[in-house]
Amino acid sequence: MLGLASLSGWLALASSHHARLLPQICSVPAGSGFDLRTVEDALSINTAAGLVLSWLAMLLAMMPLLLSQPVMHLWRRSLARRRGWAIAAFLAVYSLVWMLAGPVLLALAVMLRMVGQGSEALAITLAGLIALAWRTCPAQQICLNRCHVLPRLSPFSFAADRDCLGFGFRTGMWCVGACWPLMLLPLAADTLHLPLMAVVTLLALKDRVAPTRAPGWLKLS
Amino acid sequence: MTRTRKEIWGLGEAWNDTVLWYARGVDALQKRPFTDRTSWRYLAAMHGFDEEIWRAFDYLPAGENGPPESDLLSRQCQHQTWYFLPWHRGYLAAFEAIVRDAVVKLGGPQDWAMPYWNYSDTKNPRARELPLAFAADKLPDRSPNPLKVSRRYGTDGEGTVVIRDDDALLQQAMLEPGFPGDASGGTPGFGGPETPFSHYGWMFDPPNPSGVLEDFPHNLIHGAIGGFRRGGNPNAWQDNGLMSMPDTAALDPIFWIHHCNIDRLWEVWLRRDPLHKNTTERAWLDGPVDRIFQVPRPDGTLANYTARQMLKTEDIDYIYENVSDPLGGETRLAARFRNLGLAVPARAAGRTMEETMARAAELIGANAALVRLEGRSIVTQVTMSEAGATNLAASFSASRSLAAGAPPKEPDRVFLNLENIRGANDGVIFDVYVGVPAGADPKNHPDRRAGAVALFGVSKASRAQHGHGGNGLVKVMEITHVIDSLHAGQAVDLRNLNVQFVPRQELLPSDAISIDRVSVYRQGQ
Repeated sequence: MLGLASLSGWLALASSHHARLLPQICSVPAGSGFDLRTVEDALSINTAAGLVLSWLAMLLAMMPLLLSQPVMHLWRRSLARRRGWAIAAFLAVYSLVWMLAGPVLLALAVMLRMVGQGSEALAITLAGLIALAWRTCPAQQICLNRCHVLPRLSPFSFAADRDCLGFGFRTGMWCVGACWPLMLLPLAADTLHLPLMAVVTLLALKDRVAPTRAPGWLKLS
Repeated sequence: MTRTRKEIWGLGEAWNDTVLWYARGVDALQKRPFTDRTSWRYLAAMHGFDEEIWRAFDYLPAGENGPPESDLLSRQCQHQTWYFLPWHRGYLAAFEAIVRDAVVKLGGPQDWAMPYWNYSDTKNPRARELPLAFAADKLPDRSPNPLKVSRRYGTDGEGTVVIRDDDALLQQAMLEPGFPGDASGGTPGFGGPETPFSHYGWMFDPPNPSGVLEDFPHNLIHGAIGGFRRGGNPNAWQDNGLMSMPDTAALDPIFWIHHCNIDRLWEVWLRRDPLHKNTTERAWLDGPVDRIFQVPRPDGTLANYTARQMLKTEDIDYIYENVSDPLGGETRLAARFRNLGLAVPARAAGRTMEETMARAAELIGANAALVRLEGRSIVTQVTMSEAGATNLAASFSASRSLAAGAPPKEPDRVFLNLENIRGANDGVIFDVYVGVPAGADPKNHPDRRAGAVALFGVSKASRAQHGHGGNGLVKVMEITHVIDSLHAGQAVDLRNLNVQFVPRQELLPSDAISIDRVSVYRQGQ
């Protein structure tokens, strides 16, 4: 199911122009300086709804495979009649956290393109350096470790809803903490948007399945 | 040459030839440097290694380094996985070959084989006592005894090891019909749930339970032998016995004798019922794909192995002296139907077991809040969902309302799940009772005893930076027999079930032992 969800996200991105609005808004003409007017111009050609859909398509393509552990936890530890609701509640809050992170990441990606004077290669390089720096930082490992935490799920009524929503919120927060620099890579790219999304998805999956370990500096692996 | 592994108490006097040569072989291995892959310490580190603990316990002196994290030979032990049995078989066989090589070089017999300790032998009243040679101060020639270790605190915290009768019971393991299980809340299977390479569990999946044999009696025996030091701080690994922790267990020479018996019990299980079979899934036979199993040969070269190569002991050049059925042909289904007052046509037994195994488990109830284990008795109440209680009751009704001549239908099997047990004390053992009335002494209700839980490996499983991601251990205990008894008696409200934990030693708040959730699952109908 999670694989199918991811596939649908990839198909949407591959087949729909609207699903790729995000890399377009980040595109700054080559040679442009840091000028907010270029962002305003870009925003003017993309509706807010289009941007939301584009970001959702990215999340749908990239995130489901990272969620097999919590979704399995919700399935196994919920009453049969509550399983669907428990997973839906978790996914709704988890997605909401990423939706709120979206504008911040988008702004950062635009800044990278501006600093790079519109050069896609330079913007990607800068994003890569940020991602690399974050990987050497204990904070990323703390976030990754926390992504593995599987909380108690109450079986009945309000307590069960509260636990599923809280689980979605915490997983979303730690997931954003672990992955935000990686997400800058495809956002900073235009022509390489989809290939970089694929690379980042694999990297995030590798991080997600890697054993938890003590947070520390300079562990590039 | 096929060698025969024999029962240690049946070998006669404490220092019989087999045990004496084992001691000499262990001594030879202990004198080898850590860097030698056939050394005592290196072989123990293959099971588990923690530099901090090894240094504190003087197994790694200052100036000497242990194996690096990148060493794929160390830190291999497989727990909470279907690889538990095949990995330990290969590991034990490699150890035996290395000890034998040392024994032969010392002038010992070419056919030397590991002894096993059958603590479940009901015919020998001393079977549950630690074999005498392991507690002796000296060898017969008055030299120090390498089989004795000071960090073996046993059942009294002072070094006396006497396994409790009910910790050595084999019913749970021997009556379990299927080899693989899963982590869905139902049976984890005789051999354990499907996982990839699982050193201290696999962290990407929710925490997996141990297979039935791994919990009963393997983990209980580890905890009963290792224990923790009386008067020490039970909340600190410094006071745990070697056998209580996976990272130090193989440093105790009794470890190998214990595991020899666990390996034998795999053979016993396979032979006692034609329906008992290893899984034929290629993922098990040829796995794991994410990291290979590797052991040293006596000459220091390396050998790889898979479960497929561990299926027949004869292929690894050994057999067991005794693989007879300790339960006299009893089957789980027959025992259950007898308890329920139902007749069991033999032809139906196998089909019903397979049906049971094929069904996923379903949560039917849980307690209201996290449980902290403090004191000498802790009670929590599991509330069943209306649908869960109704479906469970319906499965009992269905088993009784079949038309004459119809094959019998087994009611649901029922499992108690202790989810995410966290703590700092690997030596803790507690008994679990279900359905004991409030205020009653559980010891007066032996039919309500679900079993015992040993927290072997809990401290590392509770730390976020280690394998389990801090989610602790999950224990699955079959409570079908208790539910059957309660159902037959109809004296207890099955919609609200007391679950009582009775620690073998008083647990202090500082032990920080907690259980996230106590839940009940049904599996079958």
